[in-house]
Amino acid sequence: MNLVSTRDGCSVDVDGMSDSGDIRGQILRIFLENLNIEVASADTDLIDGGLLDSLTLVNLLAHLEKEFGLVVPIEDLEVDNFRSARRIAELVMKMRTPES
Amino acid sequence: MVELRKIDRSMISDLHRLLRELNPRLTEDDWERAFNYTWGTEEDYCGYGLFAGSEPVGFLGLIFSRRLIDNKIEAFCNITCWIVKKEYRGYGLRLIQPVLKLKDYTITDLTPSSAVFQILERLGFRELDTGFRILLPSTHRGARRAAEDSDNVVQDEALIERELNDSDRKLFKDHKSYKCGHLLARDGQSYCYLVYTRVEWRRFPYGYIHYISNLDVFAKYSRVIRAAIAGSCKSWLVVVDSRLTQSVKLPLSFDLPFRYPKLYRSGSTLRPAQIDNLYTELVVLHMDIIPDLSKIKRALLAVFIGKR
Repeated sequence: MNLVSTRDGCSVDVDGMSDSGDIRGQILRIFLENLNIEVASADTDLIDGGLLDSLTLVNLLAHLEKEFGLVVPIEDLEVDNFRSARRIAELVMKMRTPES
Repeated sequence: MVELRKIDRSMISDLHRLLRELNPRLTEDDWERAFNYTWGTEEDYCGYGLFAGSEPVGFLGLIFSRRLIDNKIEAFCNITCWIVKKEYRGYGLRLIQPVLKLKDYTITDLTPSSAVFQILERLGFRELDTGFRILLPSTHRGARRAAEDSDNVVQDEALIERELNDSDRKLFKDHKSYKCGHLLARDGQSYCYLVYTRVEWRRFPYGYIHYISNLDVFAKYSRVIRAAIAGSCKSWLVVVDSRLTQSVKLPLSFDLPFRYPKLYRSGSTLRPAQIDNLYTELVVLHMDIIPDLSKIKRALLAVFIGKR
């Protein structure tokens, strides 16, 4: 298990991270520090697990914008892209990569 | 698998159990009447539903209307209710997504909960109104003056309908089936037409004004108007949203904040004062807006004995 320490002394498991590991770690940190939600792993189902409701999702978007400079238009967002920290990291990576 | 579906009027009966969870006070008839409105709309739906298989797990109710404001037809979409079962709240945003695409509409939510207020604010909704004005009953002297003016105030609906101009008559007809009160204050060649509802808040009735056609005439006859509304609502209290009375001075009145501000998002240049409460949950479902009794008590003390 690979634990990342947060400012308030808590830790999150970011096991199995590779290139996108930093982003997943950042996302798990946002959940813990900004949204006060402890997410067990990058694959935890946030939607069906009841961790992410509409308000939390909207707040998460604001933090993603602040942290990664990403603006996700809510009209077009796919809730499934926010199903896990891994999926969110994939979305962040995809949105950061300029389309060829 | 949770699926988003457009809801038309014929589907409201499938949502009754879910809607009862939102507000047990409202009956199936109330909900049916709310969405089976009589005015014509271009939209063939009245909201969006979330379904887990065949089970409804979420609903965003919408009331559409067109209003003539400053000689321009404005499209309105009122968010009448927003309910999602707890275990499906992760899907709740799906309900509002298609509404956000209604760019040419003025979208309103006049009774947001704490969570809905925070969500809509983040989605770019702005405050429509932050509070309301409580109009107290007239004093002895005021009552005498009100009695003198009472000939100018009409509550007979047949008479009111005859005296209204085309635009106001449409409002009258559209709201006739919603147990609204109608009042007309005459002033020479002009008039002020008002629509109000009798609302019960913890068994405490009050009159709630939703539409004022002419603010000058309203201000002139405010004592007799409030007496007439209070009388027909069997209450001593009449309330009106602050934006509808703007900065007009009304004797024996004080302001209180809403629990959460009313919100709107407009594709038009409408100002808050031009957006009233007609064609919304406030008139079709008679929702209450009083925050809490202690605030009223404190405000009353401030009015009568100058204490806070």
